[in-house]
This record gives sequence, structure tokens and C-alpha cells, in this order.
Amino acid sequence: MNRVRGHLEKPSRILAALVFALTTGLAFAQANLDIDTPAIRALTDAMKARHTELTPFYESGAVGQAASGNLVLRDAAQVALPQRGRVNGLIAAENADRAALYREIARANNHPEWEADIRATFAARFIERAPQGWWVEGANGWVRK
Amino acid sequence: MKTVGKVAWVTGMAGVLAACVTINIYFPAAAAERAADRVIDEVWQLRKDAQPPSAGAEKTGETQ
Amino acid sequence: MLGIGRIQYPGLVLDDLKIRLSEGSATVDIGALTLGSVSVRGLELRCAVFEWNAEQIRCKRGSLRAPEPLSDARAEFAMSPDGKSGQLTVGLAGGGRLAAELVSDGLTIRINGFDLKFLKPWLPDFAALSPKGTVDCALKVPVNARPIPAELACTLTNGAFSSGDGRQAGEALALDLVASAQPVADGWNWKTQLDWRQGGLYVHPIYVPAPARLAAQGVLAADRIRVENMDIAMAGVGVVRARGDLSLASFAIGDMELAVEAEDLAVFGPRFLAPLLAPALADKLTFEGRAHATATLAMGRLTTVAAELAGVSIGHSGFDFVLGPANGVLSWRDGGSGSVQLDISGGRWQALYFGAFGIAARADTESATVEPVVIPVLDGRLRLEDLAWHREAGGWYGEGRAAIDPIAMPRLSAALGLPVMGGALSAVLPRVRVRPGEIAADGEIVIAIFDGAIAITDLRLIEPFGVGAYARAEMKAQGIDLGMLTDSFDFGSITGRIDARIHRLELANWRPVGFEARVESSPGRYRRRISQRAVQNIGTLGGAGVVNAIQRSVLKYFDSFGYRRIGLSCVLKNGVCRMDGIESGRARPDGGFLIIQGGGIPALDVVGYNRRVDWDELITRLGRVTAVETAPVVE
Repeated sequence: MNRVRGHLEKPSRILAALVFALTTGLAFAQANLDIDTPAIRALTDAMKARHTELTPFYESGAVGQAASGNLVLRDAAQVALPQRGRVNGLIAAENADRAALYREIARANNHPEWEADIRATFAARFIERAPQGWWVEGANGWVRK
Repeated sequence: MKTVGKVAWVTGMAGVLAACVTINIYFPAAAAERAADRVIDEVWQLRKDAQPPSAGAEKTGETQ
Repeated sequence: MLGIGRIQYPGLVLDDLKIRLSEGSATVDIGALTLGSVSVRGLELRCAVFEWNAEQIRCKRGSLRAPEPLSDARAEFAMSPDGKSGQLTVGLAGGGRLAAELVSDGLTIRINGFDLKFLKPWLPDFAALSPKGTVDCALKVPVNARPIPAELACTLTNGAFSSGDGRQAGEALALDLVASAQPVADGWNWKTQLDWRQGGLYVHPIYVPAPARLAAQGVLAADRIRVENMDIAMAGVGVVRARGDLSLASFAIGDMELAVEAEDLAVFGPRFLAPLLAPALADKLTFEGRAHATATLAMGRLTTVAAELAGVSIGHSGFDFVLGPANGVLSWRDGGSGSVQLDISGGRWQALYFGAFGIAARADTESATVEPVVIPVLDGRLRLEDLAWHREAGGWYGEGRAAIDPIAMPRLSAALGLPVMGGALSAVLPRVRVRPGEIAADGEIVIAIFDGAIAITDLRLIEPFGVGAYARAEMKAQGIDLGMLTDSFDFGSITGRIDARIHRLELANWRPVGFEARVESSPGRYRRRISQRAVQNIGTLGGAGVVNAIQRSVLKYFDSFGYRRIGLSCVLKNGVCRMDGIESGRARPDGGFLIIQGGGIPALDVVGYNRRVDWDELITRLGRVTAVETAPVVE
């Protein structure tokens, strides 16, 4: 951030930076969020390990990506009866990790108050990035992508 | 004179921009989206050629 | 045409009955047939052959027009003119068959091979659960007994049901039901025994496999079932006793009292408690002991819960943590207060055992207070005082005081699997704050050790119970006797004293991942010697050729060397320790940095050349040279 000021003596660079900033919707103005802390890595590792087990339930529509940034058991009927409790446990564990992840990203970037915004951003990205066939919660309820 | 004017304009704009940048306590939505995408790439392993997202590649603009 | 207004038996009413005859055939219209609470309208029976004589009334090759499951069924009946004996058979949709036989002493109705899915039009609320399965039943009603008792025996095979979202479902169900009923003024007194033999039930979020036995009795009124006494017994799990009422129209529970006798929490806990109380940890929590619980519901809403625990232990397999056995009581009241009174006989976290203590707490929906807790830990005590909790948006927040009365280090270090160290650990934390995902403490933990002291301050534990657990703290050590330290770790011997400061210490999963540490000789006069073995080990840590240099020189004949100063710093970040020596920021002409400045005779300088050391590699090497099979403490 301060780097921009540091280059004040070189107008041509500033011009380039300006053009770049304007064309990229001021994205340049925002540094990356730090998501490279050990806690965040531990959380994403845990989520990654769980993902393999959750994938069939995303694909069958049993579990969907909710607008709240959580997972939701949308249609338990898609899960074999003895497995339903297990799926519920997976969802609860994933949601606990997601909550910790949102909180931790906010904290790692020294803005604990961003937690709700980070959750909302992740919710939108989880929904947007969900592959074809998965269920996501849109403005008008649940839809299959 | 033209050059001076240009420099002044650029400097002024840069000042405004710098002000935006340094007083940016608002939520950095674009950066958060990029962070979310990196996490999603990592957790969902959507890209077939996905390499573990390396911090270094993303952190070229590190400010400290 | 013959019109009969109404025929009424207990539990069975035929309304608006008309019989039309024409040349050997007949049509029977039944305006409404009501059996118990089920009513069928618009039944029409056409008999291709209809005989009516002094001996019998008989309908042959009849066909029935009626809603499912009777629709387009074949029906035949024969009956004596006095109405005291007769037979009726009706083909049911899906291949089932209903046969009724009336003899002088009673009525028997048998239903065979009836598929539950055909119940849909009659019981719309029940139909939402899409019931399936084959039912065989026999109903016996003795006519002459007063009051008339009815006996019912049913078997369900391949039963299944599911709500639309799958949150209430059963599969592969097999059960036997025996019931008897007697009419009373406002309905039927009933008694039933149900033997659930096969299949599984899921009532979100709980899955229960067969078998179980249920015995119940109560009153069946027009629109609701009152259960006066119900016992459900499940192997290993225990007994559930209940009384209450259930609406027949909606299958909703009204008021209810429930008592649960959990004989074995090892079975009961994972099946019922974990999915309800901590689904995320369901596969890690372990339970033991017995519990007795009672609950009441009003209008389907839980209003009170009370539980008595006997010898209950709860553990977390991931943390290798066990609490208990515990005895005590828990109670909760809807919208009001809850309380906990527990005597816990001890516990264990890995190899660290703690002693008996009590917990007494009171809570309402917005706040909770905990009486002082004193937990014996080895020979010391952990004291928690003035603990108060309150609820804010986002969860529960707590604040209180904590202290540790001295715990002897030899026992603590042994319990933690560290080399045995002398000294004691104590703590005074005048303000401990707990918020969702974070515990922070003001004050300090002091470890009197190696004739010096280590102070830990600004302690923060973040997500302490999650996978992303990490801790932050500041550490300061003063006057640590190096002789005692190096002896403990079998590192070779260094005499002297050091001070150390670890700034911004960060532990992830209890392993250091970041800090700015500096160690240097304490000021003052004391003996300063370093053994050749210690020098060699330091050399090994640096991965340098120092050792060879000693071996090649005359120095190899000395056991120990004098030194003037030790100074070393390490800034750990991203798995790399950036090292520096006595004069930080200054390099020798050859690029090295001085770690030990020699002095006395014979003198020896130890110089480091590698400023960037991989932390994991360093730990591995340290583990090797100290020959202790634990993560070494680096101060």
C-alpha cells in the first residue's frame, strides 16, 4: 500500500499504476488477504480431507451449499439410511471448520470485524464455483447447477 | 508547462489514489474473493492440474 | 329397492345403505362406511348373482366400486337372514385379500398381503410419509361378550416410510404387533405389544437399528391417542418410559412425559447424545457409565429436562482426553434456568492426570455463573474463580480468574513426556477471557526452573478445540542455569547462565511456527565453560564443519573450553529460522556470525555460517543430539 507513495517521484510508473488500477476496478488498491497461516492451513487441510467423503453427497443433492456460507442437509432421502447420521456429522464438522476459517482469515488480517463479510464472500464463491450438478441456494431457493 | 501540468494532474490523482489506498479500512471484497477462490481450489481440488496454491506466487505485492 | 338408514356396531358404522334388486342380480350402495376413525364414502357393490332366500343372502361374482384400496375389487358375501352369520371376501388392490367371517360368537376379519401404499387416500397425513410394506392382520371381535373386546394381531414385512426430505424414515422394517381394545364411553381402551425385529429408523439426526420392544396401553379417542404407559426396551441402550398424547390427524405429539434409563452410555451416547449435542465430534466422543433422565413436553415443545449421572465418563479420542467418572445432576427448564452439579472423580489429558473436583453452575438463557472450581493437578491445583458467562450475538462469552498453585516440575515434565526437570510451575492469571474461538489471559505463568525462571505472558489460545488450534504468547527466561538445562537434555555440558526472550511466540497444534527469540549470557560473574561434546552438538545443529576443525587440531585433547559470552537469535517464519549471533546484524569478514565468544584457556569461538536454517531440520537434529524422544524445548 505504501509502495504507491514510495514511487511518487516516478510519474510514469504512477501513470501505469493508475491505468492499471482503473482498468482493474481498483483491485490493485487491495492487497491480497493473508490466508497462509498455520491455523488456516490446518483448517483447509481438514476440509480437504473431508471433501472426498462429502463429494458424493454434493453430487446426489443430499447436501447443498447454502447462502449462509454453510453446508445444509437438503435431502436426506438421497443418503442410505444408516449413513444419514454420519452425513449430519460431516456437515456439522465442515460448518464448524468453515466458521473457524472465516473467523481466522479475519483475525489473520487484523480485522476481526470482517468475519461476516468474509463469510458472505465465501458463501457467494462456494455457490458460484460449485460444479455442474451440485445444489446451491440462490436468491429464489435451491437450484441444481 | 504542459509537462508540469501533466505531472501535477498525475500527482494529484496519485494523491487521491494513495489516500484511497492508505485509508482503505473498508472490506476488501476483491481480495476476499481471491482468497475464497484459493481456498476453494485447494479444498475442492477442482482444477485437474491443480498445484497446491503457493503463497509466493500470490504474494508478489507483499507489503510490510 | 330396499333402504336401510344405518347399521351400527361398536367401531363400525354403515350409513345410508340401499339395496336394489333386479332379476337375480343386485346393487348395494353404502353411503359411508366408518371403521374407527377411518371413513369411506360412496361404496357400490354389484352382485352378478344375488340370492335371497330363507337360508341365506348371497352375493356371488360381485365387483366393488370404491376408492382405493378397494377399487374395482372382487367381492363375495353370504350371510344368514338374521344377520348372525356370514362371510365376506374382498380382493384388495395390489393382490391383497380381506376376509371376514361372522359366526354366532363373533366376527373375524383377516387381511392378507395388504400393501400399505394403498392407505394413501384414507390417511392423507400418513401418506406424506409414503408408507410401504406388506401387512397381514387378524382382527377378532367376540360378539356376545360385554363390553366387546377386540383383538388384533398384525405383522409388517418389508416396511418403509420416508418424509419428503428424508429426515424421518424407516427401511426394511419387520415388526409384529399384538393389540387388544375394549370400547369405553369416549373411545377404546387399548393395550399393545410391538416387537420390532428388523430394519432401521432415522429420526433426524438419530439412526436406530432394530431390535426393540414396545409395550403400551392407553385410550383411543376419535381424534387422538392417549398413551398412559409406554415402555420401550432396546438391547444395550436401556428403557424409555413415556406417557402422553398423540393427535391422529397430524401425528403431532401433544403433552408428554418421558423417562429414559440409559443402562450403558457406551451404546446410548454415540447413538443418541453425540448426534444431538455434538454432531461435529460424533466420531470422536466416547461415553461410559449410566444415566437416568426425565423430560416433559407441552404441546410438542420440550419444557423440562433433568438428568442424573452415575459413573459417567466422557472422552475425546482425538485429544486423548477423558473426564470422569462423574456423578451428579443436570436440569434445564424451557425459558428459565438450568443448573449443573457434578462431582468429577478425575480425568486425564494424554499422560497428565488430574484429581477429583466439583462443578456447580447455574444458567439461564442469557447468562451463566460457575462456582469456583479447584482441580488438583499432580501436587498442585488449578483454580478457576469468578467465572461468569453471558451470551452475545455469535455465542457465549466468559470471564474469570485462574491460578495454578505450584506443580512440581519433575512430576509435570514426566507426565508430559519431557526429560525430568526440577523446579515448579505456577500461574496467576487475574483476567481470563473466553469468546467464541478464543481464550485470552492477562497475567503470567511462571516456571521456576533450572535455578532461574521462565515467565509466560499475554497468552492467547485460538480455536483451542479445533483443528486450527494455535496459541500466542510472550516468554521471558532469566538466569537459567545452563548446567542444569544441558544435563536434563543430555546435550553435553555448558556451565553458566542465560537469559532468553521469545517475542510473538506462535504455536500451531502446539508446535512452534513463529517467534523472534534471543538467548544470551546473563550478566554477572559465574563460571563459564563448555564441554567438547556440547561444542560438537552445536556444530551438528549448524551442520557446519566445526567439529572436524576441532578434531583436526590440538583442541581435541581438551574436555572443555572457557567462554566469555553466548548469544544467539532465531527468527522463525514460514518454517525457516533466521539466525544471528552475539552481535546481531553484524557479520564477520568471512560472513559468519559469532555464537560463542571464547575466553580463558583454552578459548574457542563458535561461529555460525548458515543464517537460514530449516526449522524442522533443526528440530530433527536437536532431537538426535539430545537423544530424547520428544520435541525438545528450545530456550
